[in-house]
Amino acid sequence: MKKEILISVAGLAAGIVLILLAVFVFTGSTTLNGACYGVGAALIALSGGNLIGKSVIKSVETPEIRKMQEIEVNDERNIRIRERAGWNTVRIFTPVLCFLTLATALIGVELYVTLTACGLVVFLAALSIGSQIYYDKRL
Amino acid sequence: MENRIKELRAARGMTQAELAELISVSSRTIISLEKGQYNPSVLLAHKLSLVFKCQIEEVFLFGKEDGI
Repeated sequence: MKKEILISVAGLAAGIVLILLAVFVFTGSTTLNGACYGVGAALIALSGGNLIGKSVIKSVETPEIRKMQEIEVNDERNIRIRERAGWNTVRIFTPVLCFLTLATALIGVELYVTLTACGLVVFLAALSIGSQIYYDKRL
Repeated sequence: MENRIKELRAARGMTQAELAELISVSSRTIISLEKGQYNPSVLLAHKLSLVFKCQIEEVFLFGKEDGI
């Protein structure tokens, strides 16, 4: 729990820093300025939302609610559902990403967009292979 | 894999929620198990057999379709 709060606080701080960078430092470059605003706003929204959500839950939490939450999180059917949903998402997303990468190359968009998409495909493949090796050793 | 969870639970006069609480799972898990939509882990099967005070084989009916 403490670790999650720490991550949220770090995310919030990083988001604020990025917004400040966009306002005061990267005023000349529109690409960098936009990226800083976008990523900063996303970080603030996600981390802030997470922190607010946790504080609201903490204020109304009773031992019964905590027990129910624990059961919901540790329930093996829920765990299996989460695993399957995650796997299904990746299974569908991978060919979509490959198609998008190919499309960006064929329609002649900026090279960095195609390279970023290629990087994502390579990252996804590396993550998949890495996870398989990790779980092959662990399980 | 078929099971006798519903029958054994009813015989002991337990509700799905009570059984779920005894083995620390959600009520939806019990519903899924009773419908045969979901096969539990060995640990959960063991917990169920402890609650019903019988062997795992008496709760879960293994057949040829399970490769046994």
